[in-house]
Amino acid sequence: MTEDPVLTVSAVEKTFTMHLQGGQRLPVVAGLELAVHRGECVVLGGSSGAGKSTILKMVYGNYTADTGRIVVRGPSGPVELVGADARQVLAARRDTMGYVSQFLRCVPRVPALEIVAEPLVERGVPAPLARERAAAMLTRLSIPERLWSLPPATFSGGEQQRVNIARGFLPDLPLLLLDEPTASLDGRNRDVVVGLVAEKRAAGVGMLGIFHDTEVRAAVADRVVDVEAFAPRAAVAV
Amino acid sequence: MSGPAPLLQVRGAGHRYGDRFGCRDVDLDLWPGEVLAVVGESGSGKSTLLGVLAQRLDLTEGSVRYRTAEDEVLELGELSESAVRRLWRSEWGFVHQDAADGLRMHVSAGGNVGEPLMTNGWRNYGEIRAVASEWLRRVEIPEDRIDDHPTTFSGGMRQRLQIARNLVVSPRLVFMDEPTSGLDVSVQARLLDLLRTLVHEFGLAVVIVTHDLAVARLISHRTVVMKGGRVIESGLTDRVLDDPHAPYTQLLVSSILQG
Repeated sequence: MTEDPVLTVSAVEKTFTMHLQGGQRLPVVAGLELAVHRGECVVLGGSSGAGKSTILKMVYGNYTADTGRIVVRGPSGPVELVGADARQVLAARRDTMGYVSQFLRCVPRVPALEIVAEPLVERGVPAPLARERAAAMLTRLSIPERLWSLPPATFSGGEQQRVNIARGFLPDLPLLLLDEPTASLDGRNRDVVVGLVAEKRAAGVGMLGIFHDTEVRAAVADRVVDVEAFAPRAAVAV
Repeated sequence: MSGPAPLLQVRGAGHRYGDRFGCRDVDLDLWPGEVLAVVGESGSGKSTLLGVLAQRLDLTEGSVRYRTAEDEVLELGELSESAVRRLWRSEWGFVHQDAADGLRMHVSAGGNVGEPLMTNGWRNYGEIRAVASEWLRRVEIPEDRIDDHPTTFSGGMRQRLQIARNLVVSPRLVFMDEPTSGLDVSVQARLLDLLRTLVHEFGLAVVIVTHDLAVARLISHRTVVMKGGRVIESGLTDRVLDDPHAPYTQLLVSSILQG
């Protein structure tokens, strides 16, 4: 792989300072190095609490990295996200990276179909076409058509998760961050997600994900990066 | 989201009440199409800041620059009253917490929406009524209520009418002061969803003051947190709420009730 990675993380360090607990410092990662190339799915490994989710959130910009570099390579070239201002992060989210978590943040009153179509509409896809693609994706994830016009607030946890997956996988972005998207799915829907990951890979999308299910992980991972290798020494000593 | 230059540029802004400052040293930029939430508890200075930005309170120190639709940069503190009135007429809106402060309560709903058009020179009654009727539909007020006074409306309907009255002239910048906090929770959700839709549809720039972090999360791109009259933290809204750095922001975030 000679071309530049779609994501490069280098020398990243993150410590949470808990001011409500007397300023207690919680180092999570230090010296973090990883890269994701086009068309590969890199899975973060390591025990719970090792900082896997924190890494995804730093890339997406929900968490700030204390030091280091996080560079995503989008349609308009590389963007350094550490120290970037809010508008640069929002632009990178619009043009370069998507995030699929296991939880849907419900917007009151908005029907499931609109929630799934919204990321496409925001990126300039005409609404009827966006709805058509959203409908196809919901069908694939076995959300029955009678639910499409309802807001997902009343759906079951698994249904909400599938709405969220549909929304996250629909836009065509160079980098996808996957935070346990299969966590509470049944076997059939897990297979659908494995298929979606394979399609993204074939389309040249780079993916960085967390998958606890060993079968799913074996099916999707091109490489596993053990996050515990980047545990801060201070934390090990505690 | 992006634009060639900020719509509003605030540097070192402060307002003094007698011998103490209501807000001070505030720096911020607002870009076209961007929603900025100003959060904090009562007494934090967030409403004072909004008052300064919206020319309701004097700028005691610092500068507030606004870029007009004609791409002219105005120093707001130096504008004449008539120039400020012109901005209110065509480029700015203000949504009050209490709709009664932003509506004419003894004028019909259609009149409330039509009046800003008349101020902008519209004269054809049929056209004005048609546009008013279209806006009532947009804010989900039954069109057969067009001749009723807002005194006969519920709190949620009044607030939606106030929004229609503000947006009918296609402003570029809208200030909102706790627009949802006087409403029942179910009504709040509806109003927020409506605001979110309209802001997106019209590419509005908004400064919204709220003590409710859930409102900031749902509607804003960026958030500034105020305490004691100063901005103590600012950034991308989900970063401020998911990874708050300042002790006070951590306290605010940890105080959210989990629903």
